[in-house]
Amino acid sequence: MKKNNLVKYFIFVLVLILVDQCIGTAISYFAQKQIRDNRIGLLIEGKIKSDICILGSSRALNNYNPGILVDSLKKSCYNFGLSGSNILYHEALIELLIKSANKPSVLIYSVDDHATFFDLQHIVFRKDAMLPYVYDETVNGIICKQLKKAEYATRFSKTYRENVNLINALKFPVYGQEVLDYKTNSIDSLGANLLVQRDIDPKAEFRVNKWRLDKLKINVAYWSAFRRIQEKCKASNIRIVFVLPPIYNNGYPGFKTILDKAILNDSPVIDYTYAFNDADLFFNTDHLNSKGAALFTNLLVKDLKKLGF
Amino acid sequence: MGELHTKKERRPFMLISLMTGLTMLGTFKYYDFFADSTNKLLAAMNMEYMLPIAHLILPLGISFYTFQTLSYTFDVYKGKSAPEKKLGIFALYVMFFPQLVAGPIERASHLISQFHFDYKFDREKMTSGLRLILLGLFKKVVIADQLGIMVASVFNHPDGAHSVSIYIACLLFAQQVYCDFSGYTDIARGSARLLGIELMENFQLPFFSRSINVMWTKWHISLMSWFRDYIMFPLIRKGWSWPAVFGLIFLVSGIWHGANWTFVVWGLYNGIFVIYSKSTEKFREGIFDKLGIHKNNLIRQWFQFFMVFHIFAFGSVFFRARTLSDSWTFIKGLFTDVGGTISLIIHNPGNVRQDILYLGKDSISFYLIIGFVIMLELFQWQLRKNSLDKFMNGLQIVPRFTIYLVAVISIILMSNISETPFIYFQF
Repeated sequence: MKKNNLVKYFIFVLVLILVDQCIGTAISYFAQKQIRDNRIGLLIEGKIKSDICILGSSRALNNYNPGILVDSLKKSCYNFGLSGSNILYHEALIELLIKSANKPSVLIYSVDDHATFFDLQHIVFRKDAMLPYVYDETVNGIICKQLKKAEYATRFSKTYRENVNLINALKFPVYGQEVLDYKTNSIDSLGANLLVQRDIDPKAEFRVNKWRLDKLKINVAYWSAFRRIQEKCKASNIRIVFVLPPIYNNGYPGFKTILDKAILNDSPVIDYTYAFNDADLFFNTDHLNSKGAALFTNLLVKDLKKLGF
Repeated sequence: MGELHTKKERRPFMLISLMTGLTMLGTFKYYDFFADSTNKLLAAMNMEYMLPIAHLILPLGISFYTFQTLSYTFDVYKGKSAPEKKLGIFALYVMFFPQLVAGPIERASHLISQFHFDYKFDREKMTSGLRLILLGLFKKVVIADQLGIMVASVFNHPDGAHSVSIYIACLLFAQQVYCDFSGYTDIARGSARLLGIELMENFQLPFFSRSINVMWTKWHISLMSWFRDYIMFPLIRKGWSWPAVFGLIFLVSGIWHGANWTFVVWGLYNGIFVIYSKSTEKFREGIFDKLGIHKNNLIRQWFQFFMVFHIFAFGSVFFRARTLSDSWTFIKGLFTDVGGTISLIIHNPGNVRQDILYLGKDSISFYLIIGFVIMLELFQWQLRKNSLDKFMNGLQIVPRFTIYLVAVISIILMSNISETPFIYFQF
């Protein structure tokens, strides 16, 4: 091969690397600007220092008031609950918590009895919440596994690593930041999203759950993830407590028996499923309002104290 | 066969080879279809007899290499090609990896002779091969795979599809199948060229054709020319009328694509339009002439491109739908409540525009992909008079390398979904 051809190809590769880095950086920047909920970003950057972490789906996000836990237990606390997230997402988040600079000492895992072990259409691995943070190696590893991307290639090409964020990044200059939603991403300084009074959505009337757990099939992946979570926490010296938050005038008979079988290492399980019957404490069937959340968190504090937390 | 002097002497061997090839293809690809159809027919006649369904796994690329080996047999039988005496070379001809799975269906006279050369590194060939691979990857990753998701959102749900969605899905599927198949062909030809082997062209900008019969001479050229050489010419020599021959060819072409009634109807649909197009060509051209719109007029050209693309695209309700019943649902859906659907798109209650107009994608994503489609078509428009190599070599170094850069970055950028197999791998 002639020397000038080699020079030509070398320059092309150099320009390619440069353009790749620039585009990747721009996508990453705009994607992070676009989203409202930046809790994972703060965690990765080591800006969250909390002794107690709360984890789970929307019932973790809306039902627990971290401020009360901070005041009562004199420990720092942060809520990582995310609406619509399943146990595989929670496991991924625990991985991030363990690898973070400020690892928690206590994890309150809010169990979604109807979704923890069973497939529900609206409870999923919320990769969209993690995508803007693929610049972080741990998050990138999780996302590559989820999307079956070639992880080694993400180390060479920033554009390839960030391409999962392309559309969100383009949305920012066109539409601006994600719309603030009072139910899902109106996050306070301690990571929680406490709901006011009653759901204004007319469809979200208080209903009687019709789930028959004995008719549902346990998802093996979810079951294994639940057990892995406990093993990981034990290996990292994180004390874990499982909490079943209140449901309005409902419950899932038989779930506690299933849950007990999945518990390892005698981790405590505190069941508040039938704790409240007053509709004024609920936002809708499955979620407390801020008043209910305060009462529930106070109950939890008492029980945590009894357990020596 | 090569040692026998007359066709008459060679004929039994040709027939043995033909029967062997077709039996293999028939057994693996069509037996279940035949058994299922027969069972349904017997059931409809209240006859209780069930042919067993074999559930055979289809060997990789069987439709392609069966036709390739048949062309070898016919050429040797006709004396056009000498028989290959080295088993290794013949095996390489049948199983040459770049084109084994989805063609192009090569002729022995073109491919086998190339396997006897001594190879030397050729920078020009390498550059040209890499260029073709790049173009193929662009078509596949940037366009076909992205369109595939949108098209599937309509064709996988026949009952819920709106008229406008079906219309857009048909147009996009035509583009998807073109980019998927021609993308594969480009990658195959590029890979072969890197090894010093030249494979035949399979597509020549088919959507820039001015009639549907011309389009079919530019689409899947290796298959259509196979039909031309081994079915059409012999039958016409035997006195068949050309409409009957064309009808037969497109019927066989449909069956070749898949063991499903949808492909049979798709073949017939295209056959009917080709016969119509060919028989009314003078009349249609005469209308333009009478209107004073000359042959080179851009409006006339683009109108004809538009018509050809639409005729081809609407055939996709048979090609892409899973059953004939689904195809019928789509055809009905295409003409149902068009006004209501347009009203929904305009007023956008509950963000339905995203489902109906953008086929499940958000607007930015939709327009981005359409932008890439337009970019490709503009690039291909530049290629209508030049080969890819001539066009690229004619450019200055900066624009040339800018095109490479844009293509590479686009591929990296759009490869954000899980792997999607090539459509023609199933055949």
